[in-house]
Amino acid sequence: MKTLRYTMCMGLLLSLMLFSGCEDELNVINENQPDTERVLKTAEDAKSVVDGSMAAWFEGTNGYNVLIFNLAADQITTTNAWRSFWNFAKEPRVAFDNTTISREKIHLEDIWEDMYGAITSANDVLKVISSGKTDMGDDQAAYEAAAYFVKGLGHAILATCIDQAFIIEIDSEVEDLELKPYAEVIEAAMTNFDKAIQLCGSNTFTLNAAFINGITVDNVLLGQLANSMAARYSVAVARTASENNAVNWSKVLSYAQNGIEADIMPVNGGENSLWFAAGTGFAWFGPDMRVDQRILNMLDPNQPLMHPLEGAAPLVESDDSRAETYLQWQDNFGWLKPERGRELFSSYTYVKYGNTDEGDGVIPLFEHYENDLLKAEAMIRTSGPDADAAALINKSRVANGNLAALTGDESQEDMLEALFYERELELMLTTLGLGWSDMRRRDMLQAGTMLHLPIPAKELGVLQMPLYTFTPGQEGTASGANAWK
Amino acid sequence: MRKVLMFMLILLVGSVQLANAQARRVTGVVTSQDDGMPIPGVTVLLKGTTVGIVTDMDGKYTLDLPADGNVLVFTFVGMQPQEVEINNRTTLNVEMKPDVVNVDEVVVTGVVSGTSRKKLAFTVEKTSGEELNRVPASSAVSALQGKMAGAKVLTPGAPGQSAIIQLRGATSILGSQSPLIIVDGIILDEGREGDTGLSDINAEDIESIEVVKGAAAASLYGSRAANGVIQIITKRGNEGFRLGAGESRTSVTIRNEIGLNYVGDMLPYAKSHPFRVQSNGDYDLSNGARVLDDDQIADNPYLKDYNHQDEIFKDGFTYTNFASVGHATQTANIYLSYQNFRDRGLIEIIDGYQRQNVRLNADFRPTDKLKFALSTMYMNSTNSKTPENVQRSVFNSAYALEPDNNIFDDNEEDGTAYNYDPNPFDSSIRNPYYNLTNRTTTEDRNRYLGNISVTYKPYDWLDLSMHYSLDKYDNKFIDMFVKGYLNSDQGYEGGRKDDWTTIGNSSNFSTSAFMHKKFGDITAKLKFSYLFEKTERERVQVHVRDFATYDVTSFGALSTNHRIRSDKEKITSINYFAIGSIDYKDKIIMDALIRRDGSSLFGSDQRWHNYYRLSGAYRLSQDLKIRGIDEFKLRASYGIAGLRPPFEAQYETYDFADGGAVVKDKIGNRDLKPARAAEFEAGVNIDFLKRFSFSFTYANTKVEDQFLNVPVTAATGFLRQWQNAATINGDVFELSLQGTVFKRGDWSINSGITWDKVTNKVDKLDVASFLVGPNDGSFIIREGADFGTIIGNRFVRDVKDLNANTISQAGGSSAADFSVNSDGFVVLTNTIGTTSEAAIQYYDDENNNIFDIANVNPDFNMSFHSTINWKDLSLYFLWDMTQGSDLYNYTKQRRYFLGTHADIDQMGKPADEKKPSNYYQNFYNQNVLADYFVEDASFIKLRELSVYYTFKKIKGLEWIKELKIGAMGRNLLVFTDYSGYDPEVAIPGNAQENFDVQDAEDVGGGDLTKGTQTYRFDDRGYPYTRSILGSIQIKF
Repeated sequence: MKTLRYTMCMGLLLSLMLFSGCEDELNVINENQPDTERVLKTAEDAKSVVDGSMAAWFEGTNGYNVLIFNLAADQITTTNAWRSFWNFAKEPRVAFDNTTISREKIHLEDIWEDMYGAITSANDVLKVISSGKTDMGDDQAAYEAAAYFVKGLGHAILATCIDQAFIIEIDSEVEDLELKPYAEVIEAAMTNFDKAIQLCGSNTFTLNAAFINGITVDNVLLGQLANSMAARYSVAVARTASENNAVNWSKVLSYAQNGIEADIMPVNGGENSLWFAAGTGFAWFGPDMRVDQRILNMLDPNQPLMHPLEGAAPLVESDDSRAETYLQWQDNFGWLKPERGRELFSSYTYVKYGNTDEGDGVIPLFEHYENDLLKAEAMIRTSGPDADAAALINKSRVANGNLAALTGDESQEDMLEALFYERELELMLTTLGLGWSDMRRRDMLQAGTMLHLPIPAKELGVLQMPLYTFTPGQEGTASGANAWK
Repeated sequence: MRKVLMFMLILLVGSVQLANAQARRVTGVVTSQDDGMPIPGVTVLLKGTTVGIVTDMDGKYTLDLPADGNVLVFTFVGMQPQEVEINNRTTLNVEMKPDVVNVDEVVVTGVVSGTSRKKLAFTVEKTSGEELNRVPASSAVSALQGKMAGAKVLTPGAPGQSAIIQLRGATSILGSQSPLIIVDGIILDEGREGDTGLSDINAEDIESIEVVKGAAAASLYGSRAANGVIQIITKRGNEGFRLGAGESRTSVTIRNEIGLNYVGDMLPYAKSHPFRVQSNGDYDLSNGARVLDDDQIADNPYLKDYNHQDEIFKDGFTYTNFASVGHATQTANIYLSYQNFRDRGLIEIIDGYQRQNVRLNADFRPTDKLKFALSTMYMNSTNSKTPENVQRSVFNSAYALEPDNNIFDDNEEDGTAYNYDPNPFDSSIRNPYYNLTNRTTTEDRNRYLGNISVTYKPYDWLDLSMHYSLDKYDNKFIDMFVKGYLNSDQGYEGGRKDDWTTIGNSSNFSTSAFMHKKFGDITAKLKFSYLFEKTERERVQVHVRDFATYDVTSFGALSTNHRIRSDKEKITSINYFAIGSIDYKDKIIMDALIRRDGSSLFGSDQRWHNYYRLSGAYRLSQDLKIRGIDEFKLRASYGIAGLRPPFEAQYETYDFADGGAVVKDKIGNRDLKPARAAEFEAGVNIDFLKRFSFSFTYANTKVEDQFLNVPVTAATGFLRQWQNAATINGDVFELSLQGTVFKRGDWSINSGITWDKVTNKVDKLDVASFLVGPNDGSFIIREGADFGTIIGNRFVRDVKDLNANTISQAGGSSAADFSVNSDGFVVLTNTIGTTSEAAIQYYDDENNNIFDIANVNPDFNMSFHSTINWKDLSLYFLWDMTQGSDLYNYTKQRRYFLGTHADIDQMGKPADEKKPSNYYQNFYNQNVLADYFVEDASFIKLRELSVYYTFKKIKGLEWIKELKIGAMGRNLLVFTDYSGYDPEVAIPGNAQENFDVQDAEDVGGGDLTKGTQTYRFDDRGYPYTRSILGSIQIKF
């Protein structure tokens, strides 16, 4: 009896233990977020990844980090130290604080990480297409073109803003990647753009509506956009006037001639969307991102180059109508702090794009003015000033600014000055680094201003490389040879 | 009432014990040796049987006994048990002695089975419900503070917040420091954010709390236990009595408490400003805006002086209504209780917190081989709160508003009350009354805890048991702005609403076999156990904007401006363990444990991990009799416990962007292991002079395989990966001494001192140093650095520090250019008395200006408590002391930026000591942390004080067993140099930068560094309150 009781008890216990819970229970799937396998499983999924990479590129080039380049170019001014914006406006210039604990590291990290996020996602799709893992069917050419386009964009930004970067190819292995100087990175970007252009030329397709928010992109439009982007970045990457002169301007001309004809303005998705221009919105908001006296002086030569230390600067009086439409005067200095230097003050905000913070307003991806002006500049630099170039510059100069039209008989210097005036006024606060690259390729940045940024300290830590940055007075910063002041 | 309960019990019981044939009768009186008075309620049992009885009101008993059995056992709580041989006597009178020190407490947490504290080989602290109920405890565990060495409990000021507990040192860099909380065997679900919801449990139901502080003891709980374990044991209705056949006992308790919470001292503020004024004192606005005075000195008085802190902080009331009924018989006991608790909080407009709890516990022992136990609790609470991340907006407004801003004006925009932008010169500063009136933030919570267990004893050496427990909760959080909400930021005018619903369900099933046998001098115990845990949590968030009409806020009625999100977590674990102990002659005790955990939270190649413990104790006093020493025990223990990674840590993830596009997030890790805490603990316990008890413990804990969210090369496209990448090392010293200091006649004084010292260091870090904690990261995690170190800039106070780099960075050419100003800071001499006077910063020889500027860890903590009894009057107090802790006063730094801190006000200072406003903005340092704001947060507090009078016999109301009336106070006196509200702060929410309203999704957080003491930081939180309460309790 006793043994029976005993075995019964043990048996009961054991069976209970065995029944409840098997090893399999421990394998729990994450239902909240997919992984690469799930994300690239079907053609629809892969297309979604490409769409996402484009959106990610847009978000990464329209965030608050846009503003540091505008500040460095003295297009806008501030005393706001949040995320160290003030550091970029300080005069004399200070070095970029490249450590894992600086307050400005986030701007650089965002560029580095967002670009690689976009590049590698697009690259993943190219990998599964080339290996045949995912069958894209009829959409293969379309999304290959789109993926190459995004890869081009990503590498182009890295080449424009940072001194060196990794080039990601379909057959790249992460362990074997080596850093390449920006001159090689921009070459890789151009190769990607060319591939995209070629695929657009030899196929007919239409991409998902999500690719560029609210815009139907077919092979024609994508091809034009790729040409325009190629034109833009071939030029933007120049660090100095001598590099600018070394750009292949005839190639730029042919890209621009095949470029867009109308504005590409994605729909503003609002602050929770990737299709949102946080930087522009922040500047529109006004209390502490103001239009720099340099721009005001450009519009009205009576304006001082530096804001007075007492009181306010006089109102802008200009022949250019955009002084009324693109600028707005504020009756107070908002959050600008006098103890940080009233010479950094200004009473004007830039309102061309409207209140983009609220989901209203427009956020440009590429304006036709930019393409026209690239064309004009390429014409001038290859064959000298002429009426065709003047006509292109007049498009915004006359229609928007109501200024006297150019004839084409002006000197190269005067034509270029008028051209850059247009670029400055029409394209301020748009995509990352544009205004800054315009200043740097004319050697016009203040002495000590950064010519490019280093690799973020976070990445240097992962790569086990020593920290570095670019200090005023040393290489990587503007010489001030042609500084505007 | 009694009859009803009896009836119920008969239904439950069903079987009646038949007594064996009576063979003899023994009678007697039980008296107390102290005073010779008879003791009612003493249990008299025939040893080895269930035959027994309880002494009556006169201490008398009469027992009819069977033929065999020669020993009677007399037991009574608080008295030393007595075993007396009958030896054919028919009258047996017994004198009982009080068991003064260490009522032979039995500990059930972390051990193979209930073990007397005398025989523990590691530290388990135990506090009785009686001690906890001496002071108000809205949160069940808050009252533990100061009662035991090595335990630090912070109670945040906001109503409905759980206490934040840290046992011994920090075990985790990024994770939660919360110990595992068990209530009657139910392991509480820690939720997605590490918050176990201790605030859901009321204090009056607590019978005792057992605290296991370190891995050396907590290993029994395996991979969840590295932070320690706290077990709350609730009342069962029998109040510790063992009843004899046919005996029953009913007790009813009714308790009411009412109290007042208030802020100790308001912060002083600037009553003068530095702006240019006209001759009548009004601002000079001829330039369009306010301009600084020529001297830029803040000595122009504001024309009005509204004290905004007074306007916002009002005294809050709390009250508690409690009733419980307990009934016990020999075979069953039942406990039923109800509590209603209300805490209005300090903010008048907000309704505050209300909670109701119902508890039912029942035990049933139909035979002496079978036992059933049921423990259940249901809780419902509503909390109307200032949203956590905007909490700083309400408090920030208290500091940001200038004294001449009137918050009671109406809005010029629409005539509604409370001008939303009361500062005409800065529309970003908001009116807290407007916010609180037009925005409602509420949290409704239901929770159910239940446990059922069965124990079967087929043989006297074997117990088989099965347990099933459930922790089920739902939480609804709503944050809503009315339509027409005024705010110069866009997106609010149409109204907004965020609705978060979280449902959690945590269930555990376990079986065990427990064997115990005495072989000669050796008592051996062995238990095998199996535990299966399953937790599921789901959260849904709905966000909408732009209501169609006023007052209609349901989700159906509106625009397309909405967003819906949800996520799910599922966690399962399978655990096996075996634990045994050997006790040789009551003097050598050895304990060993091995446990194997498999969890779905570990990486898929690391599913199973083993934990173990080995400990031993030697009761020297059994072999060596030293005069005056009653107990001398040496003990040592080594144990391994773990910490589980967060749910999403092992998975490769992409995030969803709007429109369904996906974006890379993080790389997965198949090799992700749980953190592993190895603790060695050794100590000594000495009881002496029959009334004192001393204990000393040293513990060293090494926690390896810390999981960190580590950056990876961006070339992968992913940003980060959770890896096991760091080791923390800590040392703890704990000391406690308590006993009866004085006892004579009607007087007795019991006192105790506890002392502890904790140090923690990051021993190994496989990644680059990084910042963690509030304000986008203020604490540095660096290999070799002490935990709790804050980094920042240093201002120079001594001319000796003027090295070449410091001089040139400050714009000087040599040390002769500098001198020390009237404040004690080194400045350029030629700026003294000018508007550019500013303290300079220190740069070392490598031109670095970032240094370790503070460490939040104290040199030591100490507490002293005493209970003084005179007849039926009892006075209790607890002093708490912390020495050598730094606290970063970020609130002060923000108030410098806002210009409202009292330091900025120069009125009344001699002219040659006045400083311009820029001098103070320079200290603000553009929001970068600086040593200027580091303060010494050492303090001495009268943490608890209570006075009680107990009426035992009231003429005319003899049915009342006890009437206790008392008054209590918390934090009544604080002695500290710290200039903020209180030197004890913990951060309950995320730190956000903006002044005003944020998307409620930021409230959801998920940042586990919040709610910890490791990263203490004073940032405009809910002030720590002081309280006074009165209570009245009746027992019958």
